[in-house]
Amino acid sequence: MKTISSSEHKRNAKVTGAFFIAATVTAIIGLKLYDPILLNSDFLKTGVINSNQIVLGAIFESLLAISAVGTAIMMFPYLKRFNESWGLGYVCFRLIEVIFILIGILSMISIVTLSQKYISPTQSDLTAFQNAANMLKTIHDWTFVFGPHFMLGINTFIYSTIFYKSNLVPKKLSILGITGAVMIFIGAMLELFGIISPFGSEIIVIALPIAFYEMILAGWLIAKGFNLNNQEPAR
Amino acid sequence: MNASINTTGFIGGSIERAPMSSLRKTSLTSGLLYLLTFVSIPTLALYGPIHAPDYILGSGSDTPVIIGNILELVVALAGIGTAVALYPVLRKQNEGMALGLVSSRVLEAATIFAGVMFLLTVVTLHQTSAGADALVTSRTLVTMYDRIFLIGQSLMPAINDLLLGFLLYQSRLVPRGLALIGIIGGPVLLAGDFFVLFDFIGQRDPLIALTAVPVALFEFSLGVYLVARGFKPSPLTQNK
Repeated sequence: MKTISSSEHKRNAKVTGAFFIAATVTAIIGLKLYDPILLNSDFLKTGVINSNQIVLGAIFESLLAISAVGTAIMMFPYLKRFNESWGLGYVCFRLIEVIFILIGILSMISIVTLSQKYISPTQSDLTAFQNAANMLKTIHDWTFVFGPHFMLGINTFIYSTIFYKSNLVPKKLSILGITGAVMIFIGAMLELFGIISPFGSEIIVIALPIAFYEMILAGWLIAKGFNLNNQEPAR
Repeated sequence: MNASINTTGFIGGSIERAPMSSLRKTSLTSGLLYLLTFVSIPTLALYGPIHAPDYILGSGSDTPVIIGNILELVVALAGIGTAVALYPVLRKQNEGMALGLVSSRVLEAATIFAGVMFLLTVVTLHQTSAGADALVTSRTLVTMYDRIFLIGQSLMPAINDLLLGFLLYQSRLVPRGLALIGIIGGPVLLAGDFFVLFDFIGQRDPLIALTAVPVALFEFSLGVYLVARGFKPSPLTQNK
Protein backbone atom coordinates (compact mmCIF):
# COMPACT_ATOMS: atom_id res chain seq x y z
CA MET A 1 0.00 0.00 0.00
CA LYS A 2 1.22 3.45 -0.91
CA THR A 3 2.38 5.38 2.13
CA ILE A 4 0.72 8.74 2.49
CA SER A 5 2.74 11.62 3.87
CA SER A 6 1.42 13.58 6.80
CA SER A 7 0.93 16.65 4.63
CA GLU A 8 -1.37 14.58 2.40
CA HIS A 9 -3.32 13.47 5.48
CA LYS A 10 -3.68 17.14 6.47
CA ARG A 11 -4.88 18.04 2.99
CA ASN A 12 -7.39 15.16 2.99
CA ALA A 13 -8.78 16.36 6.32
CA LYS A 14 -9.08 19.93 4.98
CA VAL A 15 -10.94 18.71 1.89
CA THR A 16 -13.27 16.64 4.10
CA GLY A 17 -14.00 19.70 6.27
CA ALA A 18 -14.61 21.81 3.17
CA PHE A 19 -17.09 19.22 1.84
CA PHE A 20 -18.98 19.29 5.18
CA ILE A 21 -19.23 23.09 5.05
CA ALA A 22 -20.26 23.03 1.39
CA ALA A 23 -22.95 20.43 2.18
CA THR A 24 -24.45 22.56 4.95
CA VAL A 25 -24.32 25.85 3.04
CA THR A 26 -25.82 24.41 -0.16
CA ALA A 27 -28.51 22.56 1.84
CA ILE A 28 -29.65 25.77 3.57
CA ILE A 29 -29.57 27.89 0.39
CA GLY A 30 -31.34 25.18 -1.64
CA LEU A 31 -34.11 24.85 0.91
CA LYS A 32 -34.57 28.63 1.17
CA LEU A 33 -34.88 28.87 -2.61
CA TYR A 34 -37.60 26.18 -2.55
CA ASP A 35 -39.67 28.26 -0.08
CA PRO A 36 -42.21 29.51 -2.68
CA ILE A 37 -43.29 25.89 -3.32
CA LEU A 38 -42.83 24.55 0.20
CA LEU A 39 -44.63 27.34 2.05
CA ASN A 40 -47.51 28.26 -0.27
CA SER A 41 -50.70 26.36 -0.89
CA ASP A 42 -51.15 27.90 -4.36
CA PHE A 43 -47.58 27.11 -5.30
CA LEU A 44 -48.40 26.39 -8.91
CA LYS A 45 -48.69 30.12 -9.53
CA THR A 46 -45.75 31.17 -7.42
CA GLY A 47 -43.79 28.27 -8.85
CA VAL A 48 -43.94 29.72 -12.32
CA ILE A 49 -43.18 33.23 -11.16
CA ASN A 50 -40.07 31.96 -9.43
CA SER A 51 -39.17 29.14 -11.79
CA ASN A 52 -35.57 30.35 -12.10
CA GLN A 53 -35.36 30.46 -8.32
CA ILE A 54 -36.54 26.84 -8.03
CA VAL A 55 -34.07 25.74 -10.71
CA LEU A 56 -31.33 27.55 -8.83
CA GLY A 57 -32.47 25.73 -5.68
CA ALA A 58 -32.19 22.43 -7.58
CA ILE A 59 -28.65 23.35 -8.64
CA PHE A 60 -27.69 24.01 -5.02
CA GLU A 61 -29.26 20.69 -4.02
CA SER A 62 -27.17 18.98 -6.71
CA LEU A 63 -24.07 20.58 -5.23
CA LEU A 64 -25.23 19.29 -1.85
CA ALA A 65 -25.43 15.78 -3.34
CA ILE A 66 -21.86 16.05 -4.64
CA SER A 67 -20.55 17.43 -1.32
CA ALA A 68 -22.27 14.68 0.66
CA VAL A 69 -20.70 11.96 -1.51
CA GLY A 70 -17.43 13.87 -1.19
CA THR A 71 -17.41 13.59 2.61
CA ALA A 72 -17.94 9.82 2.34
CA ILE A 73 -15.21 9.28 -0.26
CA MET A 74 -12.72 11.40 1.68
CA MET A 75 -13.39 9.73 5.04
CA PHE A 76 -13.55 6.11 3.84
CA PRO A 77 -9.76 5.47 3.83
CA TYR A 78 -9.60 6.64 7.47
CA LEU A 79 -12.72 4.80 8.65
CA LYS A 80 -11.53 1.63 6.89
CA ARG A 81 -8.39 1.55 9.05
CA PHE A 82 -10.54 0.89 12.04
CA ASN A 83 -13.36 -1.19 10.64
CA GLU A 84 -13.71 -1.86 6.95
CA SER A 85 -17.33 -3.11 7.06
CA TRP A 86 -18.59 -0.11 9.00
CA GLY A 87 -16.56 2.29 6.85
CA LEU A 88 -18.14 0.82 3.74
CA GLY A 89 -21.52 0.89 5.47
CA TYR A 90 -21.10 4.63 6.02
CA VAL A 91 -20.39 5.16 2.31
CA CYS A 92 -23.48 3.09 1.37
CA PHE A 93 -25.86 4.93 3.68
CA ARG A 94 -24.47 8.29 2.58
CA LEU A 95 -25.17 7.24 -1.02
CA ILE A 96 -28.75 6.33 -0.12
CA GLU A 97 -29.17 9.77 1.47
CA VAL A 98 -27.95 11.33 -1.77
CA ILE A 99 -30.32 9.20 -3.87
CA PHE A 100 -33.21 10.72 -1.87
CA ILE A 101 -31.88 14.23 -2.43
CA LEU A 102 -31.77 13.50 -6.17
CA ILE A 103 -35.36 12.17 -6.21
CA GLY A 104 -36.40 15.35 -4.36
CA ILE A 105 -34.71 17.48 -7.03
CA LEU A 106 -36.57 15.59 -9.78
CA SER A 107 -39.89 16.22 -8.01
CA MET A 108 -39.25 19.96 -7.63
CA ILE A 109 -38.07 20.39 -11.22
CA SER A 110 -41.15 18.47 -12.42
CA ILE A 111 -43.35 20.92 -10.49
CA VAL A 112 -41.67 23.81 -12.36
CA THR A 113 -42.47 22.11 -15.68
CA LEU A 114 -46.08 21.53 -14.61
CA SER A 115 -46.48 25.16 -13.53
CA GLN A 116 -45.24 26.39 -16.89
CA LYS A 117 -47.91 24.26 -18.59
CA TYR A 118 -50.44 25.39 -15.98
CA ILE A 119 -50.46 29.06 -17.04
CA SER A 120 -50.90 28.18 -20.71
CA PRO A 121 -54.18 29.89 -21.76
CA THR A 122 -55.43 26.79 -23.59
CA GLN A 123 -55.19 24.73 -20.41
CA SER A 124 -58.59 23.85 -18.99
CA ASP A 125 -58.15 20.99 -16.53
CA LEU A 126 -56.40 22.93 -13.78
CA THR A 127 -57.44 20.61 -10.96
CA ALA A 128 -55.57 17.73 -12.56
CA PHE A 129 -52.43 19.86 -12.66
CA GLN A 130 -52.80 20.89 -9.03
CA ASN A 131 -53.28 17.23 -8.01
CA ALA A 132 -50.21 16.07 -9.88
CA ALA A 133 -48.18 18.94 -8.43
CA ASN A 134 -49.42 18.12 -4.93
CA MET A 135 -48.28 14.53 -5.39
CA LEU A 136 -44.82 15.68 -6.47
CA LYS A 137 -44.59 18.08 -3.52
CA THR A 138 -45.58 15.27 -1.14
CA ILE A 139 -42.92 12.99 -2.67
CA HIS A 140 -40.36 15.76 -2.13
CA ASP A 141 -41.47 16.10 1.51
CA TRP A 142 -40.92 12.37 2.04
CA THR A 143 -37.51 12.43 0.37
CA PHE A 144 -36.63 15.12 2.90
CA VAL A 145 -37.70 12.86 5.78
CA PHE A 146 -35.75 9.87 4.46
CA GLY A 147 -32.64 11.55 3.10
CA PRO A 148 -31.47 14.44 5.25
CA HIS A 149 -33.20 13.13 8.39
CA PHE A 150 -33.50 9.31 8.53
CA MET A 151 -30.42 8.38 6.49
CA LEU A 152 -28.31 11.25 7.82
CA GLY A 153 -29.04 9.94 11.31
CA ILE A 154 -27.89 6.45 10.39
CA ASN A 155 -24.75 7.40 8.49
CA THR A 156 -23.69 10.03 11.04
CA PHE A 157 -24.16 7.46 13.81
CA ILE A 158 -21.88 5.02 11.96
CA TYR A 159 -18.94 7.35 11.33
CA SER A 160 -19.22 9.07 14.71
CA THR A 161 -19.10 5.69 16.44
CA ILE A 162 -15.94 4.83 14.49
CA PHE A 163 -14.56 8.27 15.45
CA TYR A 164 -15.33 7.52 19.08
CA LYS A 165 -13.64 4.12 19.06
CA SER A 166 -10.64 5.17 16.99
CA ASN A 167 -10.01 8.65 18.47
CA LEU A 168 -9.75 10.07 14.94
CA VAL A 169 -11.26 13.24 16.45
CA PRO A 170 -11.65 14.18 20.16
CA LYS A 171 -14.11 11.95 22.03
CA LYS A 172 -16.31 14.88 23.09
CA LEU A 173 -16.84 15.73 19.44
CA SER A 174 -17.78 12.14 18.52
CA ILE A 175 -20.21 12.01 21.46
CA LEU A 176 -21.90 15.17 20.15
CA GLY A 177 -22.11 13.45 16.76
CA ILE A 178 -23.66 10.27 18.16
CA THR A 179 -26.17 12.33 20.18
CA GLY A 180 -27.07 14.47 17.19
CA ALA A 181 -27.45 11.38 14.99
CA VAL A 182 -29.78 9.64 17.45
CA MET A 183 -31.87 12.81 17.81
CA ILE A 184 -32.32 13.38 14.08
CA PHE A 185 -33.20 9.68 13.64
CA ILE A 186 -35.89 9.98 16.33
CA GLY A 187 -37.07 13.17 14.62
CA ALA A 188 -37.40 11.23 11.35
CA MET A 189 -39.45 8.53 13.09
CA LEU A 190 -41.76 11.21 14.56
CA GLU A 191 -42.20 12.61 11.05
CA LEU A 192 -42.93 9.14 9.73
CA PHE A 193 -45.83 8.79 12.14
CA GLY A 194 -47.04 12.31 11.36
CA ILE A 195 -46.38 13.58 14.90
CA ILE A 196 -44.21 16.47 13.69
CA SER A 197 -43.90 18.15 10.29
CA PRO A 198 -40.68 17.80 8.22
CA PHE A 199 -40.57 21.59 7.81
CA GLY A 200 -41.82 22.65 11.26
CA SER A 201 -39.95 24.36 14.07
CA GLU A 202 -39.70 21.15 16.18
CA ILE A 203 -37.44 19.41 13.68
CA ILE A 204 -35.18 22.46 13.47
CA VAL A 205 -34.61 22.20 17.24
CA ILE A 206 -34.08 18.43 16.98
CA ALA A 207 -31.57 18.97 14.16
CA LEU A 208 -29.55 21.62 16.00
CA PRO A 209 -26.99 19.24 17.64
CA ILE A 210 -26.17 17.50 14.35
CA ALA A 211 -25.87 20.85 12.56
CA PHE A 212 -23.51 22.18 15.24
CA TYR A 213 -21.58 18.91 15.16
CA GLU A 214 -20.98 19.02 11.43
CA MET A 215 -19.75 22.61 11.62
CA ILE A 216 -17.46 22.01 14.61
CA LEU A 217 -16.19 18.82 12.96
CA ALA A 218 -15.50 20.71 9.72
CA GLY A 219 -13.61 23.42 11.62
CA TRP A 220 -11.66 20.80 13.56
CA LEU A 221 -10.70 18.83 10.45
CA ILE A 222 -9.54 21.98 8.66
CA ALA A 223 -7.59 23.28 11.65
CA LYS A 224 -6.24 20.09 13.23
CA GLY A 225 -6.93 17.18 10.86
CA PHE A 226 -7.47 13.55 11.81
CA ASN A 227 -5.64 12.24 14.85
CA LEU A 228 -3.84 9.19 13.44
CA ASN A 229 -1.51 8.45 16.37
CA ASN A 230 -3.51 6.79 19.12
CA GLN A 231 -5.81 4.65 17.06
CA GLU A 232 -6.59 1.28 18.46
CA PRO A 233 -5.56 -1.61 16.24
CA ALA A 234 -7.88 -2.67 13.48
CA ARG A 235 -10.36 -5.42 14.06
CA MET B 1 -1.00 -13.42 -1.65
CA ASN B 2 -3.84 -13.46 0.81
CA ALA B 3 -1.62 -12.38 3.64
CA SER B 4 -0.32 -9.37 1.75
CA ILE B 5 -3.85 -8.21 0.93
CA ASN B 6 -4.81 -8.82 4.52
CA THR B 7 -2.33 -6.45 6.04
CA THR B 8 -3.03 -3.53 3.71
CA GLY B 9 -5.17 -0.81 5.11
CA PHE B 10 -4.81 -2.01 8.67
CA ILE B 11 -2.64 -0.69 11.38
CA GLY B 12 -0.18 -3.35 12.42
CA GLY B 13 -0.60 -5.71 15.32
CA SER B 14 -4.08 -6.94 14.49
CA ILE B 15 -3.11 -10.05 12.61
CA GLU B 16 -1.95 -12.10 15.58
CA ARG B 17 -5.14 -11.54 17.56
CA ALA B 18 -7.43 -14.56 17.46
CA PRO B 19 -8.52 -14.37 13.83
CA MET B 20 -11.26 -17.02 14.11
CA SER B 21 -13.22 -15.06 16.69
CA SER B 22 -13.39 -11.96 14.53
CA LEU B 23 -14.40 -14.16 11.60
CA ARG B 24 -17.05 -15.76 13.79
CA LYS B 25 -18.35 -12.28 14.57
CA THR B 26 -18.53 -11.53 10.85
CA SER B 27 -20.37 -14.76 10.05
CA LEU B 28 -22.76 -14.36 12.97
CA THR B 29 -23.56 -10.73 12.09
CA SER B 30 -24.13 -11.44 8.42
CA GLY B 31 -26.18 -14.55 9.23
CA LEU B 32 -28.44 -12.60 11.58
CA LEU B 33 -28.81 -9.81 9.03
CA TYR B 34 -29.77 -12.38 6.37
CA LEU B 35 -32.49 -13.71 8.66
CA LEU B 36 -33.60 -10.12 9.37
CA THR B 37 -34.23 -9.56 5.65
CA PHE B 38 -37.22 -11.90 5.97
CA VAL B 39 -39.19 -9.60 8.31
CA SER B 40 -40.99 -7.93 5.40
CA ILE B 41 -43.04 -11.05 4.55
CA PRO B 42 -46.12 -9.63 6.40
CA THR B 43 -46.20 -6.70 3.93
CA LEU B 44 -47.98 -9.07 1.52
CA ALA B 45 -50.98 -8.83 3.87
CA LEU B 46 -50.30 -5.33 5.24
CA TYR B 47 -50.36 -3.82 1.74
CA GLY B 48 -53.67 -5.52 0.86
CA PRO B 49 -55.86 -2.49 1.72
CA ILE B 50 -53.77 0.07 -0.15
CA HIS B 51 -54.13 -2.02 -3.32
CA ALA B 52 -57.92 -1.61 -3.15
CA PRO B 53 -58.98 0.72 -6.00
CA ASP B 54 -60.92 3.06 -3.69
CA TYR B 55 -58.45 3.10 -0.76
CA ILE B 56 -58.04 6.88 -1.01
CA LEU B 57 -61.83 7.40 -0.72
CA GLY B 58 -62.31 5.12 2.28
CA SER B 59 -61.68 5.87 5.94
CA GLY B 60 -59.56 2.80 6.62
CA SER B 61 -56.55 2.94 8.94
CA ASP B 62 -53.14 3.81 7.48
CA THR B 63 -51.28 2.08 10.30
CA PRO B 64 -50.84 -1.30 8.52
CA VAL B 65 -49.21 0.48 5.57
CA ILE B 66 -46.87 2.45 7.84
CA ILE B 67 -45.89 -0.72 9.71
CA GLY B 68 -45.26 -2.44 6.38
CA ASN B 69 -43.12 0.51 5.33
CA ILE B 70 -41.03 0.29 8.48
CA LEU B 71 -40.49 -3.45 7.91
CA GLU B 72 -39.33 -2.65 4.39
CA LEU B 73 -36.93 -0.01 5.73
CA VAL B 74 -35.48 -2.65 8.07
CA VAL B 75 -35.05 -5.05 5.14
CA ALA B 76 -33.27 -2.40 3.06
CA LEU B 77 -30.88 -1.52 5.89
CA ALA B 78 -30.24 -5.18 6.75
CA GLY B 79 -29.63 -5.91 3.06
CA ILE B 80 -26.82 -3.37 2.88
CA GLY B 81 -25.63 -4.72 6.23
CA THR B 82 -25.21 -8.27 4.86
CA ALA B 83 -23.03 -7.03 2.00
CA VAL B 84 -20.79 -4.71 4.04
CA ALA B 85 -20.43 -7.31 6.82
CA LEU B 86 -19.28 -9.99 4.36
CA TYR B 87 -17.14 -7.59 2.30
CA PRO B 88 -13.84 -7.89 4.23
CA VAL B 89 -13.96 -11.68 3.83
CA LEU B 90 -15.35 -11.90 0.28
CA ARG B 91 -12.92 -9.22 -0.91
CA LYS B 92 -10.09 -11.71 -0.51
CA GLN B 93 -11.80 -14.01 -3.00
CA ASN B 94 -12.64 -11.36 -5.59
CA GLU B 95 -12.59 -7.67 -4.69
CA GLY B 96 -14.53 -6.52 -7.75
CA MET B 97 -17.35 -8.99 -7.23
CA ALA B 98 -17.48 -8.27 -3.50
CA LEU B 99 -17.79 -4.52 -4.18
CA GLY B 100 -20.34 -5.37 -6.89
CA LEU B 101 -22.41 -7.14 -4.26
CA VAL B 102 -22.26 -4.07 -2.00
CA SER B 103 -23.24 -1.82 -4.92
CA SER B 104 -26.17 -3.97 -6.03
CA ARG B 105 -27.36 -4.11 -2.41
CA VAL B 106 -27.26 -0.29 -2.33
CA LEU B 107 -29.30 -0.15 -5.55
CA GLU B 108 -31.77 -2.64 -4.08
CA ALA B 109 -32.13 -0.53 -0.93
CA ALA B 110 -32.57 2.64 -3.00
CA THR B 111 -35.48 1.11 -4.91
CA ILE B 112 -37.03 -0.23 -1.70
CA PHE B 113 -36.85 3.25 -0.17
CA ALA B 114 -38.30 4.84 -3.30
CA GLY B 115 -41.19 2.36 -3.15
CA VAL B 116 -41.79 3.19 0.51
CA MET B 117 -41.93 6.88 -0.40
CA PHE B 118 -44.58 6.24 -3.05
CA LEU B 119 -46.80 4.43 -0.55
CA LEU B 120 -46.23 7.09 2.13
CA THR B 121 -47.27 9.73 -0.41
CA VAL B 122 -50.55 7.82 -0.83
CA VAL B 123 -50.90 7.77 2.96
CA THR B 124 -50.38 11.56 3.10
CA LEU B 125 -52.98 12.10 0.37
CA HIS B 126 -55.33 9.83 2.30
CA GLN B 127 -54.74 11.61 5.61
CA THR B 128 -55.26 15.04 4.08
CA SER B 129 -58.58 13.76 2.69
CA ALA B 130 -57.58 14.55 -0.87
CA GLY B 131 -60.62 12.50 -1.92
CA ALA B 132 -61.75 11.75 -5.46
CA ASP B 133 -59.39 14.35 -6.93
CA ALA B 134 -56.44 12.23 -5.84
CA LEU B 135 -57.90 8.91 -7.03
CA VAL B 136 -55.79 8.78 -10.18
CA THR B 137 -52.59 10.02 -8.56
CA SER B 138 -52.88 7.53 -5.71
CA ARG B 139 -53.49 4.66 -8.14
CA THR B 140 -50.45 5.86 -10.10
CA LEU B 141 -48.32 5.82 -6.97
CA VAL B 142 -49.43 2.29 -6.01
CA THR B 143 -48.67 1.12 -9.56
CA MET B 144 -45.23 2.75 -9.34
CA TYR B 145 -44.70 0.90 -6.07
CA ASP B 146 -45.60 -2.43 -7.68
CA ARG B 147 -43.28 -1.84 -10.60
CA ILE B 148 -40.36 -0.66 -8.49
CA PHE B 149 -40.94 -3.69 -6.25
CA LEU B 150 -40.36 -5.86 -9.31
CA ILE B 151 -37.01 -4.15 -9.94
CA GLY B 152 -35.89 -3.69 -6.36
CA GLN B 153 -37.10 -6.75 -4.56
CA SER B 154 -37.17 -9.22 -7.41
CA LEU B 155 -34.59 -8.27 -10.03
CA MET B 156 -31.85 -6.97 -7.72
CA PRO B 157 -31.98 -9.99 -5.34
CA ALA B 158 -31.44 -12.26 -8.35
CA ILE B 159 -28.25 -10.35 -9.15
CA ASN B 160 -27.18 -10.20 -5.48
CA ASP B 161 -27.58 -13.93 -5.00
CA LEU B 162 -25.86 -14.78 -8.26
CA LEU B 163 -22.82 -12.72 -7.18
CA LEU B 164 -22.88 -14.07 -3.65
CA GLY B 165 -23.44 -17.64 -4.86
CA PHE B 166 -20.36 -17.48 -7.08
CA LEU B 167 -18.22 -15.89 -4.35
CA LEU B 168 -19.28 -18.52 -1.80
CA TYR B 169 -18.90 -21.38 -4.28
CA GLN B 170 -15.37 -20.35 -5.24
CA SER B 171 -14.26 -19.57 -1.69
CA ARG B 172 -15.91 -22.64 -0.07
CA LEU B 173 -16.86 -20.50 2.93
CA VAL B 174 -20.11 -22.48 3.12
CA PRO B 175 -20.94 -25.95 1.69
CA ARG B 176 -20.86 -25.81 -2.08
CA GLY B 177 -24.35 -27.29 -2.33
CA LEU B 178 -25.70 -24.27 -0.46
CA ALA B 179 -23.86 -21.86 -2.76
CA LEU B 180 -25.27 -23.75 -5.77
CA ILE B 181 -28.84 -23.01 -4.66
CA GLY B 182 -28.00 -19.31 -4.98
CA ILE B 183 -26.34 -19.76 -8.37
CA ILE B 184 -29.39 -21.64 -9.66
CA GLY B 185 -31.93 -19.48 -7.81
CA GLY B 186 -30.67 -16.20 -9.28
CA PRO B 187 -31.39 -17.04 -12.95
CA VAL B 188 -34.71 -18.74 -12.04
CA LEU B 189 -35.90 -15.55 -10.32
CA LEU B 190 -34.53 -13.46 -13.18
CA ALA B 191 -36.55 -15.54 -15.65
CA GLY B 192 -39.65 -15.03 -13.52
CA ASP B 193 -39.04 -11.26 -13.50
CA PHE B 194 -38.89 -11.16 -17.28
CA PHE B 195 -42.11 -13.17 -17.53
CA VAL B 196 -43.79 -10.52 -15.36
CA LEU B 197 -42.11 -7.65 -17.17
CA PHE B 198 -43.36 -8.88 -20.56
CA ASP B 199 -46.75 -9.64 -19.05
CA PHE B 200 -46.77 -13.42 -19.60
CA ILE B 201 -47.72 -13.90 -15.95
CA GLY B 202 -49.28 -11.49 -13.45
CA GLN B 203 -47.07 -10.08 -10.70
CA ARG B 204 -49.30 -11.59 -7.99
CA ASP B 205 -49.63 -14.99 -9.69
CA PRO B 206 -48.73 -17.96 -7.42
CA LEU B 207 -46.52 -19.33 -10.21
CA ILE B 208 -44.32 -16.22 -9.92
CA ALA B 209 -44.00 -16.73 -6.18
CA LEU B 210 -42.64 -20.18 -7.03
CA THR B 211 -39.70 -18.70 -8.99
CA ALA B 212 -38.65 -16.86 -5.84
CA VAL B 213 -38.50 -20.06 -3.76
CA PRO B 214 -34.89 -21.13 -4.55
CA VAL B 215 -33.55 -17.64 -3.79
CA ALA B 216 -35.53 -17.44 -0.56
CA LEU B 217 -34.32 -20.93 0.38
CA PHE B 218 -30.73 -19.91 -0.38
CA GLU B 219 -30.85 -16.73 1.71
CA PHE B 220 -32.68 -18.34 4.59
CA SER B 221 -30.46 -21.41 4.83
CA LEU B 222 -27.40 -19.21 4.40
CA GLY B 223 -28.58 -17.11 7.34
CA VAL B 224 -29.19 -20.20 9.47
CA TYR B 225 -25.87 -21.78 8.45
CA LEU B 226 -23.83 -18.64 9.20
CA VAL B 227 -25.51 -18.17 12.57
CA ALA B 228 -25.28 -21.81 13.60
CA ARG B 229 -21.98 -22.89 12.08
CA GLY B 230 -20.04 -19.85 10.85
CA PHE B 231 -17.68 -20.01 7.89
CA LYS B 232 -16.24 -23.35 6.86
CA PRO B 233 -12.45 -23.41 7.17
CA SER B 234 -11.12 -22.37 3.78
CA PRO B 235 -8.03 -20.60 2.37
CA LEU B 236 -9.79 -17.28 3.12
CA THR B 237 -10.20 -18.02 6.80
CA GLN B 238 -6.50 -18.82 7.19
CA ASN B 239 -5.43 -15.46 8.56
CA LYS B 240 -1.74 -15.77 7.96
